[in-house]
Amino acid sequence: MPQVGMEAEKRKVKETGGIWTSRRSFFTLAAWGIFLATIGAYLWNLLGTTGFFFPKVLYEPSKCFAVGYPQDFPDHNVVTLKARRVFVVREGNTFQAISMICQHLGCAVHWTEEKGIFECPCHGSKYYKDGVNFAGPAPRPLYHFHAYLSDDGKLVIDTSQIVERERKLVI
Amino acid sequence: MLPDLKEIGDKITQNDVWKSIFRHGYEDTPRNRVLQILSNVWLHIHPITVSKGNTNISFTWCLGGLTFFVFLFETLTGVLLMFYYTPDVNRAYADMLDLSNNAIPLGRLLRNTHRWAGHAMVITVCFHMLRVFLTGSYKAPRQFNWVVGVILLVLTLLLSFTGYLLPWDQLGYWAITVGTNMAGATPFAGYQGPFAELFGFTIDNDIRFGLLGGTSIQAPALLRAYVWHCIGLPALAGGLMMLHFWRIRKDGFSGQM
Repeated sequence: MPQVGMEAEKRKVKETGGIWTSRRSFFTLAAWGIFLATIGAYLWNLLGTTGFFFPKVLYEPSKCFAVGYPQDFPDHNVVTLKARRVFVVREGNTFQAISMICQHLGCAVHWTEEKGIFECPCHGSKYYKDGVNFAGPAPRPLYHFHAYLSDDGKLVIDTSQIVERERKLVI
Repeated sequence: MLPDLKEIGDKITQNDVWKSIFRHGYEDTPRNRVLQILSNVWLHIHPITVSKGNTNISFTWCLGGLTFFVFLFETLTGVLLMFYYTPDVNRAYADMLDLSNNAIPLGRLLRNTHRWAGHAMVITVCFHMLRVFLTGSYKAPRQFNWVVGVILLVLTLLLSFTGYLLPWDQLGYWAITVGTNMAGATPFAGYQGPFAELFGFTIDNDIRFGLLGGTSIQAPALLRAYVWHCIGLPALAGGLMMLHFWRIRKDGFSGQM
């Protein structure tokens, strides 16, 4: 009788330390597994990081932009470009493009001329002129962006490229 | 000679059309009272009778009910505001100013009460939570309902958060900047949080990106805040409230009323 054979088989497998499952329950489990995996795949498609809530095309302002001619920027000065969220720092004939976005939680920092430092109005982070954080909750210095001269002599800043603090554009 | 009111009344009420709308009369018998409540879609969830002890409000101060009432008020004022607000970056601030400056009759009152009631809902929900805690109404068998309540609290705060961006003013813009950057710094979820490399998170595929629909707050962020604020979060909150109230009816009040 098939039932008796199954019991004997079960005992034999369990004796050797194995896991026994009937053919029926194996296929039931496998089918449920495939079903849940499929549902999971659809849910990932909807809610995952390549899913519905993550657009592939962004209509955001260009990360690379021209800001004028080098002579437009006064010497020994920090020019605030509010709409672009970037500072242009000129010392003699060297230029640096420093991000205005505070490294703490993203507020726009101010350049305080009298103190010669950047200060964030939100939670009090402070940075030196080269962007290094020295006070407040900011965990790291302000980003420096790649700056270069275009073919027609304009100063161009590329905010998609972050460069080391020591890098300066020398004209 | 005065018209026979009873005869006129009967003519109006003793016919098929009237009876198909109003099923039961106003006979003051216990049976009719039950029928009136149970056959009414808006009322049938309520208990037909309330024991005298339940009229003692000092056990709960009706805080949960107040919160629900404020939520309904917000829904109503919110829908009315939707007639005059467009979630577009070029229109939103101007629409808000129009509402506040008499371009729309009662616009200022509508907008201001919507704002105040939002604050009020957070306050009442916190007091409600405090009361539930102090009366031990979270203990067995009500533990799950407490969890549902906490989720409702989070949804209430999210409603406040998403609504704050909609005027598209400096306050809203920077508040949401800070809030979403916090999300960006969350472990296992944000591109600036711990373990971001483990999942390969960058500025354009982490949870902050999913919330903003972009790498910074632009038009998609405003639109998403609007959809979450007007549809997504109220639907979730409404569904959970149904569960929350159902559990209370089933488990009964937790104390002597």
